Amino acid sequence: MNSEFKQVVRVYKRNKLAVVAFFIALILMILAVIGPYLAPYDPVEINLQLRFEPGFWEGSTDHFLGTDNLGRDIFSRILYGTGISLKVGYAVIAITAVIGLFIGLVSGYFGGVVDIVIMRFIDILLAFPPLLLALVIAATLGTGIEKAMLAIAIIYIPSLARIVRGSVLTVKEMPYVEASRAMGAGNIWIILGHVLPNVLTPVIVYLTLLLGDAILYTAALGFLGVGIDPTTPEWGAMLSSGKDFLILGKWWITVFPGIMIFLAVLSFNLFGDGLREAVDSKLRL
Amino acid sequence: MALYKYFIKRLALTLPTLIGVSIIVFLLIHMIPGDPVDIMLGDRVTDAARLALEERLGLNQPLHIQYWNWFSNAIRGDFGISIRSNQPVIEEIMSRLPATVELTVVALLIAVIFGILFGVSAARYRNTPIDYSMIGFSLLGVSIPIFWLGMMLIFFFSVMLGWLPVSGRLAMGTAIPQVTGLYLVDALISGKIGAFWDALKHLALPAFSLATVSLALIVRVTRSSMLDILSEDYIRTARAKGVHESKVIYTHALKNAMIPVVTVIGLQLAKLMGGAILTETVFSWPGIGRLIITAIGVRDYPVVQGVVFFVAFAFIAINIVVDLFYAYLDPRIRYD
Amino acid sequence: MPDLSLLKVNNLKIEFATDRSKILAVDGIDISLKRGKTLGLVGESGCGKSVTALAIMGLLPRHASISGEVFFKERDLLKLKNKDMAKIRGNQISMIFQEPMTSLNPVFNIEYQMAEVFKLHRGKSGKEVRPEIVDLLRTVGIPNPERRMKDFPHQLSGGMRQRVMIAIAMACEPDILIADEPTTALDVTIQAQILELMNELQRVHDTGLLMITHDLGVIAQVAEKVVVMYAGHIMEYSGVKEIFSDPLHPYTRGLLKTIPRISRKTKRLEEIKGTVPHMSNVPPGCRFHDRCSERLARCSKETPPVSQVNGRTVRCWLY
Repeated sequence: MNSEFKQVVRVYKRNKLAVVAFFIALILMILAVIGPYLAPYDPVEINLQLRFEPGFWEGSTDHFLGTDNLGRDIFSRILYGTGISLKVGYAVIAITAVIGLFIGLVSGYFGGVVDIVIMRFIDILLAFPPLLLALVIAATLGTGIEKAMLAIAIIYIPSLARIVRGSVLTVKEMPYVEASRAMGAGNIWIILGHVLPNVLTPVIVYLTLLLGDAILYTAALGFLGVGIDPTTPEWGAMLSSGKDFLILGKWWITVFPGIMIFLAVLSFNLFGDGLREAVDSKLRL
Repeated sequence: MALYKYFIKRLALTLPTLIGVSIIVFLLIHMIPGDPVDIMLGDRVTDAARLALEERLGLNQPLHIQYWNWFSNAIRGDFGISIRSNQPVIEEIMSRLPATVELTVVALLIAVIFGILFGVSAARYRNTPIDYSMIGFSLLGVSIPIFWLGMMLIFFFSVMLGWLPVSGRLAMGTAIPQVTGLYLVDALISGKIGAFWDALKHLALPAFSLATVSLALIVRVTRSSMLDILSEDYIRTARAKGVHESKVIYTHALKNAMIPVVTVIGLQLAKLMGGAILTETVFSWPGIGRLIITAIGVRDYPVVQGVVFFVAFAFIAINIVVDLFYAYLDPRIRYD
Repeated sequence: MPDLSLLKVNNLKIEFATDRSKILAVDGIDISLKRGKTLGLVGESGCGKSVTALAIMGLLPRHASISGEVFFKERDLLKLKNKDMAKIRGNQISMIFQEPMTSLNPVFNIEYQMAEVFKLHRGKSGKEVRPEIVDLLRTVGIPNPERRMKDFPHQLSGGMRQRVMIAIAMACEPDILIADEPTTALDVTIQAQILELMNELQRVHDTGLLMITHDLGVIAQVAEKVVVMYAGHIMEYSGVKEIFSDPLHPYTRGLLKTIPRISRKTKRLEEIKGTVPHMSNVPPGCRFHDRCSERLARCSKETPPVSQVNGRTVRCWLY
């Protein structure tokens, strides 16, 4: 296990872009935790006297990245936003992993009617354009970060369940599963002890690739104002509030949060790509 | 012949999915907190008026009867009446549909044409500056939030340079006779070149923003698929036959390389439909995407239900077309 | 005496540059081929046989650097522009490959793939050439050619596909046919049929045939002259009878022992010990010395020169 991990790291390191992406992702992860302590201002407090203050490009030191249409400090909001975006991202991964694994394992392992019903249901979910599905679910559940997490996770659960089911179908025919069953092991024991560990690699790769995407969908929901309260310092919601002021030349309200979304999505995508390549090379060896 | 049979088989497989989709759409809307009757009638309402409306909407009937009524109407195109506008939902959808279709189709064309062109060039000139710039473009393109890109384009091209309009489909005072509802087509039919140019200018930024992610992905997939194919034996055969290099690339290799590309394009259609919601919001584009966001905002449930079902239905239909195209490209699918 | 050769290769060197090193895949070979004759090119995989063939066809990838001369009808093919070379390929010089299963394009039917050659080199339209395609398919032994030409490659067996490949290669009645292991991937019975077909077509059209194979059994059936290649060098070059009756080079003798024969009462097939060296790491001296059973002291130090023995060419310190 340890040497396998080293091998993956070694291959990963060869991809310089992925290494840079990893460090950017790492910085973002740290910022997500310490950001609120670094933020000089309250992210939601409205101060109409300080509307549209420009930032460092006009020599301002009070508001490094300027203030928005309600006088809120953009730098502080971005720092808080990092925490929100990553929190949603992690939660989407966790929810997708738990539910997707459960459905995929049950469907693949037990087969039969259960499998048919689950797979049909998954087909139905996949028949919706993903953003539309998330929108409708978010609208149904109502506003709140936790609800948005669930709405976004529903986009990924069907695909993960399919991937897991596919791997389970292969693994369950393996001799060691037969042997375990011959020794009197129960279904739960076999699933947890033999099947689960052997389907984990594709699951982990899928989940890493999902993080950037999930951050993007979070921002999209925030931008559309569905499921995420427009006053929260969420990056997408910030873009939404700055949108109408672009024409007035107040570009900084939208430029900085957008750069953050872009940077986060890009670095997590590159990290995921690099990891997948490294893991694939390990599988080939 | 074989293609026709394949089509029938594919169609039959779709029916259960369609029914499932309709059940989900129906149930989801019924799970929304808040009573639609309250929303429609406001707070102060007599019990009699409330009962009358419930009866008119069929809300007093058991759920499965309600579903059946809704579904049997929906497949005939009757999605009920919009709470907000009091118009039939289908009319609302139909009046917005051409705007979305025009936007999405143009974006798809941009993504497919340039995506394939760029991807093929990258593969053909592997490890040259052309290739590197394509790789860089596709890396950035797949990660960019299109709604932000749209805003940045507005800022640059509309606010700073003043070249292109900020929003909408046409400038004030420009009129195009309505035939198809697709302004580019209508302007051409009626021979109004000025109006065509205006419509094109309005379409340029939204279509480009919407196309970006798909374009980047198609570049990426085309490139790697072409690289795989170019090392195949039959490419060497084609060259050994004396086929010219550009024909080797664009005929012998591309038709094979298109098989994974078509899969990706098929998957991109779903993303484009989702992306259209975002793009329409950025550019105030009067399409289906705006319609559903507004409807969600004011809890206009019949419209939300109608649009979601309509879009899912369209999406399923488009997927069938993609599958057919796939079968056309790869004869092995048809006969096996 | 004028040189009657159709194809004459002089001092051909082929080098592949990779990021880290340069690989000299073919190191100065000379061969010639006459009209209506067959030259066998033998050696284990990785000896540079296929690379030589691809160099003649002008089909090597861009990162290969080629030097020397390849004369075809008084023209040096290596100096031709890509456009002019394309006019020769598939027209005057054709090639068929080892892998019939993957050498035909899966998304076009047989008719399209055959018609292409006629369109390219004869300037004919698709409809005009249909009878010619049918004839050609019948000649190469495809039953029901009118119907079969509408098939896609995956609907044909390996032997059938190789027949189609031969039909494509012979379509323009080329002066030279290069066959790179044409029967290796096929069943033994099909192998014999394909070889017979090639012999027949060669006789009818007076084609010069360059037969590349690792199988001396195939050489015995078709070739008049044989070139034995090892690690980018020609080790021996002589008539087919001499090769079998009196092989000069120890490598040739080694290859001969690997032919299975029913008459010989050996318990198991012999093999040459060791493997072909990777071309980025050729041994000093004679390239075969570390696998050679008759090694001399100088073999590992000095590269043997090409010497003439009774009108035959050999590169070995034994002579």
